[in-house]
Amino acid sequence: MEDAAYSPSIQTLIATGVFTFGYLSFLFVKTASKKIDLYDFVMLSNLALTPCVFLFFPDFSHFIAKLFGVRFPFVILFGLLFFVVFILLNRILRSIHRLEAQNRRLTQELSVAEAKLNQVPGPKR
Amino acid sequence: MTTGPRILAVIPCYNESASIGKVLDDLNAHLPDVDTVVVDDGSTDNSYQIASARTTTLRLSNNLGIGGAVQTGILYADRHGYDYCFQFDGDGQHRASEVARLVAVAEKADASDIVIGSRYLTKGGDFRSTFARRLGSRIICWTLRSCFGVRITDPTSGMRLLNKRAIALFAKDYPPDFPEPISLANALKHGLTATETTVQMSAREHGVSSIVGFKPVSYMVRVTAYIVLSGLTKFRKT
Repeated sequence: MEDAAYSPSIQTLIATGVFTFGYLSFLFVKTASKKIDLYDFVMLSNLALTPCVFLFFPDFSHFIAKLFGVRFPFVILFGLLFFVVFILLNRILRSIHRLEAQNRRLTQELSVAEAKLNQVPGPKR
Repeated sequence: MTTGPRILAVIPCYNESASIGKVLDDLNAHLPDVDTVVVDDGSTDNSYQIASARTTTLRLSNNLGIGGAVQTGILYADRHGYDYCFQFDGDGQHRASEVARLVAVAEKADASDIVIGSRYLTKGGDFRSTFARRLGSRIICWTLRSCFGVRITDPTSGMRLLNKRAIALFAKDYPPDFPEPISLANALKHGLTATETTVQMSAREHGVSSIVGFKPVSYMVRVTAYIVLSGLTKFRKT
């Protein structure tokens, strides 16, 4: 039996719309003040935009679900969200490890340079 | 003027004010021709003052852990063109009188790049370890042998002598956590060789081991996984 396309209620649409507008505005302000970069803006905005597409275009979400051979569109929705989260997590972990290594190397170079300076006799008074 | 190889003792130190002075005196008494460098890993006691009054002391502005501290000393050895450097713990576990054995093995014509001072190479040594540690060490030995075909009995020993090739590699790339077995696997992966000689070690005089609580389990999983990964990627060009 074919499932009829799910139509979200007006309350759901309004709540999602308000959240999306508020969240995107927040991200936009953060991007404009350079607290996050454009890449982060695009990735983080998916958190709001992906559910919007699935809610406002139910026929499209059913089409995608059928394309992937799953019964419920929300499976695709959460799959997409997890995918975005994993990409972001991967990026953050790589950054953390790179910064850790840089911090370690800088600390080491600083101590070696300090020891070298201590061995150089100072100017005679 | 001495014509022998230039050797540096790297002494990582974190809050070892009770033992660092004695360790340095012991080294100077037994190995007068060996240079020493203490790496103070952000100690909060007066370890730095004690060490810097006796020898060159590198002060790390923040605590990097044992791997970061030892690598700083190796970096110093690399920058100053030392022929050999060896790690010597600041807590009094290592005996200066045993270092000559490492140097003797390293100076042979067909010497390996890394000479490890092993506590378990000959049976009947006076070093006592817990069952969990011995079991962990056995698992690491077996993994190293399976992945690289080398027989190492004490892969977690910190008492190791490095030649110039090993110094150059470790100055660039040295693991911050659980460094001894992981760096050994990394060296073998890069085509360096390692051998062992028997040494006697003492029980820790001051302080406590950093591998406590659930850390031994984490240690085993991470070290074993890293060795396997190194073994699997040893033929890749790096």
